Amino acid sequence: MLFNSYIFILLFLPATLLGYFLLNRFRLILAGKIYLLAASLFFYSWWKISYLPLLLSSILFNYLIARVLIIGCDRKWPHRFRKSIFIIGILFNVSLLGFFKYMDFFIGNVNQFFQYDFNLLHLVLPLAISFFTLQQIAFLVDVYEGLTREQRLIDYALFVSFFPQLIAGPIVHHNNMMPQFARLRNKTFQDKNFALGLFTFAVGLFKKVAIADAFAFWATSGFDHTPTLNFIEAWVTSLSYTFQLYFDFSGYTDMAVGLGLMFNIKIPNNFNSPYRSASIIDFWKRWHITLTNFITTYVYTPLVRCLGNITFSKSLAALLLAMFISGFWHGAGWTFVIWGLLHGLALCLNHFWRKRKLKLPRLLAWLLTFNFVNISFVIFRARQWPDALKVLQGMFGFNEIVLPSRLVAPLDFLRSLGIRFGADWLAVAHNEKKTFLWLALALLIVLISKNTAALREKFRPGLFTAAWVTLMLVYSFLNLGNVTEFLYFDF
Amino acid sequence: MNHYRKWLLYVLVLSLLLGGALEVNYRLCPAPLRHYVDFKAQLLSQTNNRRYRALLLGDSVFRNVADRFHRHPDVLDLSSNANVSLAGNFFLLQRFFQNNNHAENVFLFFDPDLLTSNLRSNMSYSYFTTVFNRPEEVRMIESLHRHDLFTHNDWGYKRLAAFKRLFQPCYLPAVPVFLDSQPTHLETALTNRVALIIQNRIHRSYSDFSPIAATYLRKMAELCRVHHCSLTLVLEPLPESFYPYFLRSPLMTRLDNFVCDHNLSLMDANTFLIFKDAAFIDGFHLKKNWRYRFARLINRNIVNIFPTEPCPSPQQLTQYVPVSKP
Repeated sequence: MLFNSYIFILLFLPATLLGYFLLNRFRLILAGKIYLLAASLFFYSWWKISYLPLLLSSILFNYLIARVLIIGCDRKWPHRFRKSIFIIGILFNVSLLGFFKYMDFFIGNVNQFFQYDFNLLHLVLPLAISFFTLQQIAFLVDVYEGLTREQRLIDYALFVSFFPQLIAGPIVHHNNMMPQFARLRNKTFQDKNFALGLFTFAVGLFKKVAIADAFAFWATSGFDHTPTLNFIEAWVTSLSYTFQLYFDFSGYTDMAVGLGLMFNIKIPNNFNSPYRSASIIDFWKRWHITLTNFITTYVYTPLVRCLGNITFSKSLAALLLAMFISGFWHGAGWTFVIWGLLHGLALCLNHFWRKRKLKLPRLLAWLLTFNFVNISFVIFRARQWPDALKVLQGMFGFNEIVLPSRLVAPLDFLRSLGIRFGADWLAVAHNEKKTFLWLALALLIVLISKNTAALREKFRPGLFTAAWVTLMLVYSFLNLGNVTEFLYFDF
Repeated sequence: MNHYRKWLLYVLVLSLLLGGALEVNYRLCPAPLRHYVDFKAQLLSQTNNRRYRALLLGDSVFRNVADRFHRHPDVLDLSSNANVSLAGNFFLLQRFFQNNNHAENVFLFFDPDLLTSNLRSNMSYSYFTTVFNRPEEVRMIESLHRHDLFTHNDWGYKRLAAFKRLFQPCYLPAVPVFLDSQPTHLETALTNRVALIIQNRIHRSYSDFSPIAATYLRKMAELCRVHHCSLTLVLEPLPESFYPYFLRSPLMTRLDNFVCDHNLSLMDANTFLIFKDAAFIDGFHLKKNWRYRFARLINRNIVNIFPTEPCPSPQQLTQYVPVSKP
């Protein structure tokens, strides 16, 4: 079930909210939790019910491992024994992810490099497996280190499967979520939280329906439907995808945060105007923040610890490895690996730059960062390496540069530089003016306007805000017919 | 009442007001906001169409051209898309003749997929079922093709009907996607590369008309004969690599036979100009500059329906070189 579908907005959400708050109003707290859990599992199994046993078994297994670790801690079991149990738990999660997500990639590469002919398994990637596996790994690590103690299965299952964050994050931390589910004050309907939730949900829905889906057309057209791209087409394609990804994913996150607020649960923000970043370090502090936090806490820090005495070069090596893992987590493909490594290298270079206390003018720094992000997303988006090359070749002028034929008169001298004039100068778009207007508007929005979290903080309940929330809701609602899935569902 | 509760109330009231206003607008306005098939069908029944001498029917390949260039005062453009199949085109024709006995020519622009369309795509819900629902139309299609489309007894149709009754005001642009049905060719196209789609078309067996197409093409021919009007079938541009395969397909043979049997005219846009594979956005629809060429080709070789010919750039004019096929 998609957040941006009639069935979710008109049936599922009202029924879940009503049932949850009614049960809690009659002080049926446990029943309320069970109801919310059942609703979340129903939400998950709407796509494919065969995914449900996998989610349930993962929850159950991790819970059992956590219980054994807690008991072991209470009864002072030998450290080596506890460590073995912990490693089994981590191996289970990594194997689950590895099997469903990476098995075919692994077999394909073995076949290619060693000339074998193993059959691919053609496994369908279970929805949300990347997200719920990460959350549970974090949980096991914290239980092992004695930082948390979860007692009840129902609470744990609810933390993993709470529907607003289940499918594509934000990656929530149990220490943040569990106390909120336990707080009695959160069991009652609260006007303020609901209003803020509705506001945030409306903004997210509008971002997805009105903005991201508009860019989806040009991005898909350029990446998938056009054999070669000229210079302008290639830039339009790459920028369209860069904006599509941001508005799509941040729209989804806003909807998740908004839905959480409706249930009085504060889900962390995932974005803080990332395209305003003037360095790649800054970018990763603003883009997919919960993933960055996870990678820092559970991958980078342990790696640095493993390397012994911390030195600058060792921390850079750990950083590169962590970004490699981050890239590989996004998808089973070499393009994702290269994307992760590129960002790892850029981060290393940025740290080196900072260590040398070198500085760039802010505008130039922003331009470099934004273009690096934009170019790296070409590799991220491409299904195969030739697709990425096709767009990159166009962007760097290896294909021809074509300008609109109406500019022939004033710019005729450019012909001598190999620039062609033609009606096919922007074949990826049906309406060139609209395309450029959208790109300019999107750039303005990401650079100048406040992000959703800032808007929420400044929120004042008045007629004006009510009017534009209504407009966004009604517009989005009328355009839900052309539903497209969220990009991060694939990861 | 606290500020936040009041704010929620504002949103609720404003949403109802705005939704209600749109609903009223839909009810009162002769041009519904839903989609172009609905728009054209409604206009057909609500305006005077007696002045038209010719009628253009077709799928979205032709509509992309006609919507942009067609301005001829004596020619009515009722092009829709393949999701309404030939049944939808027949009903449009039928509605047209209900108010017009002066038409002399009907042109049906078709792609092979229009001849094999069977009204079971996702989009058939919104483009066909929501538009062609007059009692006589429903009766006709149910009596002839009960198993070829969503009928009132289908579980999917019941779900749709219940959903619409409960929640979906009629101005909503499309149907909910939770209804399970076959994806349209266009939907498939969006997920694949153009070359792959063309390859798929080559390997697809175009063996016969779909039952719906066979029935309603015959009905269209009969209806035109009754109204003393000529029916011309025009094969739309096909990708260069696919075209020879289609010419050799059994469907083409059947089409030829059908045209002979019913004394119709058949024209082929591909005999006037070769449409390269790169001319297509998705293996079906033409890119913008190729639409200009198709429009010019129609004007010069088939029917002069664009009184002021589309004016391509000088660059395009030099590119326009009609090529006859051997």
